[in-house]
Amino acid sequence: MRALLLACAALCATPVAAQTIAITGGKLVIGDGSAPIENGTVIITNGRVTAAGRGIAVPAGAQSVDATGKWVTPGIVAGFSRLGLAGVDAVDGSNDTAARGAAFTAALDIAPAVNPDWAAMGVNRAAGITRAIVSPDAGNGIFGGQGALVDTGADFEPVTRSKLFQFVEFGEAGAQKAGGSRAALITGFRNALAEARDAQAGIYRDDAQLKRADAQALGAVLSGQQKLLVHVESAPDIIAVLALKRDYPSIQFVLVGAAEGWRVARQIAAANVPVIASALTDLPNSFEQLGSTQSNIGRMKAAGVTVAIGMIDDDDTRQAQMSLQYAGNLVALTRVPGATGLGWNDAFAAITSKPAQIIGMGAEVGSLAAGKRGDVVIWDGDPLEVTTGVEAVWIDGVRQPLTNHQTRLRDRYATPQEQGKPKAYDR
Amino acid sequence: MTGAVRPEVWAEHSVWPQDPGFSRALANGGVTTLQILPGSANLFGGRSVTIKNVYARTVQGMKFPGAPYGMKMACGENPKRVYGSRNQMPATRMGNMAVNRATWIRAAEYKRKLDKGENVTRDLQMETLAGVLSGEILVHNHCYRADEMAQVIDMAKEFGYKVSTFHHAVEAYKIPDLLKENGICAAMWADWWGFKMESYDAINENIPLVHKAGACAIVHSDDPNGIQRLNQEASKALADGRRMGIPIADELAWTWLAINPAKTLGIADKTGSLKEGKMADLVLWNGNPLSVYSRPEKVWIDGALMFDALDPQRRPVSDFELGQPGEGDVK
Repeated sequence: MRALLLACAALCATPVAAQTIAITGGKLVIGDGSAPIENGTVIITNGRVTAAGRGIAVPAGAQSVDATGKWVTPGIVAGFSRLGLAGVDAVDGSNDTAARGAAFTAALDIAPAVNPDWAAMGVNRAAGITRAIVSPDAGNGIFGGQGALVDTGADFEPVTRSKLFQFVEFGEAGAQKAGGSRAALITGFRNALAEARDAQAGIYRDDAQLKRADAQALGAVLSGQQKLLVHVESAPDIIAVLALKRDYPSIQFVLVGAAEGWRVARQIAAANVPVIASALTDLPNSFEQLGSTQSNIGRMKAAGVTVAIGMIDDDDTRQAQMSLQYAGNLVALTRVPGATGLGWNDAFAAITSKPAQIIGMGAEVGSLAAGKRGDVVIWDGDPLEVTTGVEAVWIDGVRQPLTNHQTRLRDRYATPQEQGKPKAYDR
Repeated sequence: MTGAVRPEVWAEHSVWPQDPGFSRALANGGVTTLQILPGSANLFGGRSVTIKNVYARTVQGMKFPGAPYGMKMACGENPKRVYGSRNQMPATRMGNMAVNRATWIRAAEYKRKLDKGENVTRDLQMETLAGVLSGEILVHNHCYRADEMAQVIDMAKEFGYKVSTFHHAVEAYKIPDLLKENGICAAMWADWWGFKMESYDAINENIPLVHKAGACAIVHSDDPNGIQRLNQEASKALADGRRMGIPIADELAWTWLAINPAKTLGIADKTGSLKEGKMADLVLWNGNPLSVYSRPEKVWIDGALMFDALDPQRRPVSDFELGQPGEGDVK
């Protein structure tokens, strides 16, 4: 989308002023954890935020949008998702989340698989999700491949930044993929990094376990150029990951899931490893989630861990929109005795600036500071409240359509009976 | 998944009374009564059980006194996929209907013999189906698509039984008039969708559109997480309905998770509303229960205080969780 805008700026005869948008009068949330600002203004010029706050002057000639009585926020950043990777999960041909029969693992780059036409893109856009951290799932091995940051805009350029991170399964799923035990997992992981190091030196051994392309891809993880998102749930497995961090200090670990993170929150904080956690997991769905509780994120935050909300294995191809409700639930916990939640400002940051920051894209998206991309949403109320709806969405400063398959069906069946003609003619 | 016709199984024989999920549904969702159904791989899935959300050593100790049995049926993709992948009947939707109807023919014959006082060899499958035909057992039919629900309605008429509720009913909004006309409830999600083809036409306004048409709308979960937030799911649907111009009062939206499910389970004379003489099943919320910021503070079941957010001793801990990480935590 950025490229399109630049091309247009260079080639189109559009006056510069027409590319300035001023959204005024709303309750403005910057997204960085600061408190909402009454009667705030956001200025977007050429797709970027140029100013946001109170008492900002509206530039002459700006297209003005009155948001009085509304809330104005940065677009929501889906902290961990597989948005854009499936049309319908159960339809294999439309599902690119995992490559179980592939010859490659770490080398897989998810970017070309992200499909802006999938209904989930339009549905989540209409729900205020403007960016998503999109990860491949692990298929034929512990490494899933390289993930991206994408936008949900209605255009053919969904990828904001490809090859941002590598995804690896640890814990129960990783152990199974590694051959059946955690010992095999850790040994396999260390061996993979050794082969990556060899690859950096141009050495390819006869007994190599990895394909050449996979070993080469892991070089970016080893050097810290690419983050390593590790799906892990139990406290002991998290400790095992933190131990690996000591052995591989250059690797930029990020924990994903981390249902029992609260049990080792001090250790995670001390290791300075950020977490993209499932917000409301509170059942022992598996033996690696025995201690799960909705207070997990609140407790980790209180211990000093940088935490964002993600949708790991939680309808992750479609329901990033739920992250708003999840954040609202974490606020609700602040009123439950014995529970630890997040204050509203932190809860909102956990679905905007925190995921952006954790993935290394905090300078680009996730808040409305000057210089950030112009991803803005106008809501008809508190965005974390379940009754609230979206009124307008901009991505990179471009106003987005909010109609989709679901809204069209809603409109067609507002009156269920046929009105003279069959429904198929009712558009 | 061992045969598409399995009305002989009873969910209560599989219910684990120590499931930690009961405590989450209680403490976070304020759920006091639940129907537990067999899965949807089979056309005839077996009997459901209705229980009170009170831990007991046995499932018998949890059963809702006097609640009728339900029977699970399933339309569509699941039976067709499970058996079709083995080249067995029913491999298609027409196969689903053919096996269903052939089974009802057998059931009608069994019931005819029973009614005439003839000696019949006891048959667990036929016993349940005869119970449906005589109206003692309520049919809960997993069905997503509008056209398939219409097929089931015709089949029910053909064999003289009644569908109590279509579960999931993702396309109920396309035929709410048909549901109303036939007195069938739709138990729906607020916004879960897109995981398989038959859930692709889901809309957020499904529940309010069914309500608006005068049919019986229910918000359900079919899920150990969703059951903890039925109030929020109802609230989302209510708000989406209002945004499209369907004005539904808050107290009417609450029928979606209280009296309407009680009706469809055949226990509306005992619970589902705060009327004199009914079971004292109630929740004290710490705020408006249609807000994401509210949680149950106290939950009474049959008048007994079974959960109190202010008292850790009133927080049930299943056997499974004793001595394990997180025992007795707030969850």
